[in-house]
Amino acid sequence: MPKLTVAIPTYDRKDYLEEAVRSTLAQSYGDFELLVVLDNPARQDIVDHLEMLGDKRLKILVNSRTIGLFPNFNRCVDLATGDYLYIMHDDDLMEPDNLARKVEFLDAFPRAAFVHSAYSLIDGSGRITQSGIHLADPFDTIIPGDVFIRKSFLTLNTVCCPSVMMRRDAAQRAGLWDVSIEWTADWEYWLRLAAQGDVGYLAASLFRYRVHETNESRKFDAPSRAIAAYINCKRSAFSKLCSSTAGLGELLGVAHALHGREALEHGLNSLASGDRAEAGACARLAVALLPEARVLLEANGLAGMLVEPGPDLASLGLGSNPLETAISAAPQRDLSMPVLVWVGDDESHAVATVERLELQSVPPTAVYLAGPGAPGLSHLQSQLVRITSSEDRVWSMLHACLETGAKDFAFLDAGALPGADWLAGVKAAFGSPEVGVVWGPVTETSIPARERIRSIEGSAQDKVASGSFALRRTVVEAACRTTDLGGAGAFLKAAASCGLKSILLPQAAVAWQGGVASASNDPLGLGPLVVCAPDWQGQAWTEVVKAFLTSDLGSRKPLLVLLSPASETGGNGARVVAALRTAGIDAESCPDIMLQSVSNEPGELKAWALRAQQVLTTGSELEAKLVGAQAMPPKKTLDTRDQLNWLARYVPLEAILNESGRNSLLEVGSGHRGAGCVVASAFVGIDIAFSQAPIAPMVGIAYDGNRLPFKSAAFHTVLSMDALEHVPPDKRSAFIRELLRASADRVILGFPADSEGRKGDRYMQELFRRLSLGQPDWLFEHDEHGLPESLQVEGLFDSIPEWQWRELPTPGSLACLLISFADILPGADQWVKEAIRDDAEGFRRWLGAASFGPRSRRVYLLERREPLAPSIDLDDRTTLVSALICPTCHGDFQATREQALECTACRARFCNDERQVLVLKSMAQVSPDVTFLLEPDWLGSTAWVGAIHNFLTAFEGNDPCRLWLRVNPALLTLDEAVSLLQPILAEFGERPIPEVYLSNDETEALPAGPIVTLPSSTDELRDWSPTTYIHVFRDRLFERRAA
Amino acid sequence: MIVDLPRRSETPEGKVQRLFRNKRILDDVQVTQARISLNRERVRRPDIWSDPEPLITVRICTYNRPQLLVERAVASVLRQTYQNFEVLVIGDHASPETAQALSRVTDPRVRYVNLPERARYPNFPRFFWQTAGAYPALAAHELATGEWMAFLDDDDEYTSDHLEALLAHARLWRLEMVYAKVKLIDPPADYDFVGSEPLTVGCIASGSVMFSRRLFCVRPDPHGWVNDLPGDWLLWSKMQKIGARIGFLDRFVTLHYPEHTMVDDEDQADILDRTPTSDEIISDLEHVGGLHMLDLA
Repeated sequence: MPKLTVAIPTYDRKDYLEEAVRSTLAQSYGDFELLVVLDNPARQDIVDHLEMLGDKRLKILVNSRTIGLFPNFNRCVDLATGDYLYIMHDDDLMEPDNLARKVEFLDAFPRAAFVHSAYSLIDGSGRITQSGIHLADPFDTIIPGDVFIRKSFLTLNTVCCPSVMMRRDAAQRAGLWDVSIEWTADWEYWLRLAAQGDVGYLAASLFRYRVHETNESRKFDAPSRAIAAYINCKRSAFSKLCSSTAGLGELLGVAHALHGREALEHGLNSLASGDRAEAGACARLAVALLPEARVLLEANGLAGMLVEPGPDLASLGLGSNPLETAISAAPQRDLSMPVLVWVGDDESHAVATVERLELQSVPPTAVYLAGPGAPGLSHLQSQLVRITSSEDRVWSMLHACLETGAKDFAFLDAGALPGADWLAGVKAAFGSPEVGVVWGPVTETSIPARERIRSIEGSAQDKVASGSFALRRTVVEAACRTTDLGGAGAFLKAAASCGLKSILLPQAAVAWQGGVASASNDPLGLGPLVVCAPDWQGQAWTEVVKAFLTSDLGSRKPLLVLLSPASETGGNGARVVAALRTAGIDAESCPDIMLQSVSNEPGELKAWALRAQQVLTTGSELEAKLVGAQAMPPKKTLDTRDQLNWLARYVPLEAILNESGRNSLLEVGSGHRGAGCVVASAFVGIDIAFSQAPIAPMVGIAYDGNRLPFKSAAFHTVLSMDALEHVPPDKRSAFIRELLRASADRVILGFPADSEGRKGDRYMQELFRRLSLGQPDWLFEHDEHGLPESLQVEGLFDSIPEWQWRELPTPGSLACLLISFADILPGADQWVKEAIRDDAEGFRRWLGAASFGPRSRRVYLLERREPLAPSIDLDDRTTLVSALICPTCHGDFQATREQALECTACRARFCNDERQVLVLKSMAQVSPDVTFLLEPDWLGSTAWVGAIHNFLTAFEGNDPCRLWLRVNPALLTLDEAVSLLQPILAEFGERPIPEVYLSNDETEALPAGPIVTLPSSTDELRDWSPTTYIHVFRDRLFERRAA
Repeated sequence: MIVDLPRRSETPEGKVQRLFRNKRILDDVQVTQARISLNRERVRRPDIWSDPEPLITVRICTYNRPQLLVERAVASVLRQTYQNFEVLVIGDHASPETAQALSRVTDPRVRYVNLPERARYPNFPRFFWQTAGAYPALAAHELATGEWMAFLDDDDEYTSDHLEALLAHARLWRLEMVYAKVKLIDPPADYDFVGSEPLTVGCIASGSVMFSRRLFCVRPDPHGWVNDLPGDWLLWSKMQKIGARIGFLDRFVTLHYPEHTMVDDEDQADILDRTPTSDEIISDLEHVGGLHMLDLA
């Protein structure tokens, strides 16, 4: 059997055919059969004529009846027997090496599905008119099939049909030529064939393409007349390809956008050349493929092009209903998911929706119609649309769609709200609470049409380039644009029952100022976070709080966030406590209420809401607060909400911390979580500041960083992990001695150290840089103070005779680095935490085994040679009070009736702050309540940026000062001022920053206390840099405190 | 009064890290400022496309290349099919030959402004290449009177319908910034044109750009070298960031000639690729007077 089949489908071109056959038989390569398939039984003369050539490789077959051009191509494929197949046109000629080169190529590249080549043009008499014609890049290449397909979407057909030698088994897998595609069947076929393997190209001109009066393709060289029809052909070719070939569905949107744009351009050209009919056809096609085309045409006064009514336009019902507006305004990416349409009473909306969706530039992967009205729409059944009234079927559809890899879906509602059960079912079907909800009607945004086209194309091309079409982004966001309270409540219920993690209703929250009562009617149906802005006047709002607290909320206990004007947060906090007390509820036992300082001024409220929304979608700060607000049960399992590097820090100490002295543990520099990762019983955490409320079982105390406010030997164990490096070098010795003083029995001290620690820091810095993330503060602080040297610290230990020490095993640099990566790389921690949740014991063992190689962190255990008895037992909290000492005068404390501590010597009083942290800072430091005043040159020179940045650097959240920024309302709105502050604030991440106020009212009274006006003009700042200025001030302030 | 504060000890690497961070913050603030300004301008004058014959400023920054400037660059502007323009030639403290050569051009629409002193550019070769010309560019933003501005290099040439084509495209698509292709004369073997969609670094040549006065709020950055990106690209990328309406005209409108530049003269292609040390960056920072960027602690 020959290796190659050359087939020439022909009809009646006797003369050219003979030349074609001769050029084939004269090839330098000989191992082939040549089939001439004559689709014209009446021309026996052709058969006779060819048989005179007398070559036994030549076989002539005659169809019993004429079947047409592409069917005859298919017959050639059927009849071929060689491994390779070459379909030669009956009017073209081969160069002598054509077959040899291509057979050689397919032999060399077994993954290639086909190879094509450059060519020359000849005229009717065989004279070469042009040679070296490349439709592809002019090099010998082999590219993967999917790359070929994606390139083809963005360029023209790059394959000259009669230059192709294909692998026959690939052709069989690809299927037959699609005879229903009028003009571009060959293009569509090459794309399908490319899906079977790689595509080769030879840059030599290996055959001659004849251009003459009777070319079949002549009618494809669409002159200006029929371009609309031509593009429509291309469109349907791509539609077929995309829907029939796995993995290409997402490309359909790209194709639509490109063809729409092509149609628009040709339409404009036709208009310019005066062909109005063709221009109209092109414009209508463009609008159907690319909705933005309409906007463009209208913007340029060319809407008249669309006037001629076409059948497809009439059914579009453009702009006729709010749902459709919602669809056209929804971000395009949201529509590349499956879309569910709930069909209520008004079926016509659903009809318009489906038709419009099918024509979206990025159409949904499927449209599901469900609901009572759905069966009436059975005439809409198409490739894209599935219809059911049976709810069971809806779920099975959803499962089917999930199997295709789609994780998101958009829900568009035609006006009738489906019941909560229905949405809960959706959630169950997805097996995930992370369901995106697009809630219509969304207000139309006036994005300029051109930009929208660009962004669509951009995102579509990105998708193509990345080769990844699965939308893995999960949306946990509910946007409700209604000010109607009833609607908001219904929405809340529906969303909560489908398990959305958090709900934020900025507009509704504002609307609730007067109508808080409706939130209290049915708190059960609300999500885990309820935001409410009470008016704080009268007593009405307390009813909400009471209703909230007295409801039987079960396991879905939400967090009530009460918005309070910043200036009155203290007073309002007291009011909440008082309200609770009158309701007979102990405020301490009620962690479900959070008071959020924010002004009632709509601009600021909005800014807060936006930020909170941002936080919600990235799931960090607020969620953490939410978690923190819930009582933490004693646990044996690892809590996967903790950062992984915390676990790496504390898990190796788990045994030693839980082994003895259980109720007498102090952690210095704990942050809000600290050893709570691994310790279930109560312990005291002390730190300079707490960015969040301490999480139970920690009892939080804030101090000034110098002397620990405890009597000597108060705790059995004192722990300090990764705090020493934040202490300035000259204070480190004192810091360690304080740890020893407070401990009765043992001290555990861990810190990153030495060159290995610095190496780790450098890796981290580089990592943050490459990820374009801001470098966190702790890294800056490492730089600022330098890491401790372990030899020096050990020298200090040796110099203290009462204590003996040894080093504890700790995970090595490699493990720490890997764990940090998992924390930092977006999304990575979820995978790791899942693994940890599944096998916490395995993770512990892994950490234990990881103590090999160099280590960036040193952990020491120090033990008193003669242990003392600790005075604190946290089971009896009074022992804690009696072990505290006044930070100002070192006197003893007594508890007062107002839940405060009073020093028996100097009468200074201390109490918990709003985060339930006992603030034990020297009273001498709390007095100067300074306001820095600055009026930035908001839209001019950026010299003021330094002033604000340095203020935020110099002071911390608890420092007694604030920055008061003036905004001239004639120049700038508060929103704009906030947007200008964003880049500066972003650097500080979650670090607590001192108060910053924006004021656009010059008559507004400044807070009491000294006022320091910061220079705002550029010239002043040149001489007196803001760094210098604020740092000098800071130093003076702190010096005075120290004294 | 200058208070001399004992600054914390900082390694050169730490200082450079801080510089990069500060530059990012300042850039972000400036982009936000520009976004606000652009929105103001859009409200103030919603329609910039209806004016039948808006004045276009053609900006040419030059440094001691008088003959090519006059005979090639300026000449190609003067023979435009669209004639309502001004040619704004800014000398980067160029020698008197430039003024002499331009004085022979009698067309009143040609303006020449020479900077009184040579600007200080970074010494590190790549940084120099990225920044050179930033100060005349900044001056041109102040001096231009046109409703639109187009850029031309002093050794390049417009096609005769350059202004007409770009303006028409901007009007058709209601664009605020339009760019097209530049044809390379005597090009490297692998490409003939610069300019393509989508707008990314390396895919746009400034000689093909025209933009509206609306976008004058985005200003050339003499310290763009800190970002290690070419100065003109920073301009376009900022326009992109603030949401300017940008469009591409798929044809060439400018010819680019391979004249020798100061960087070529040094013949140090490998030096252009080298990574500067922290000390070199600090030294350039001091040299160009950019220490204010370290003000952010």
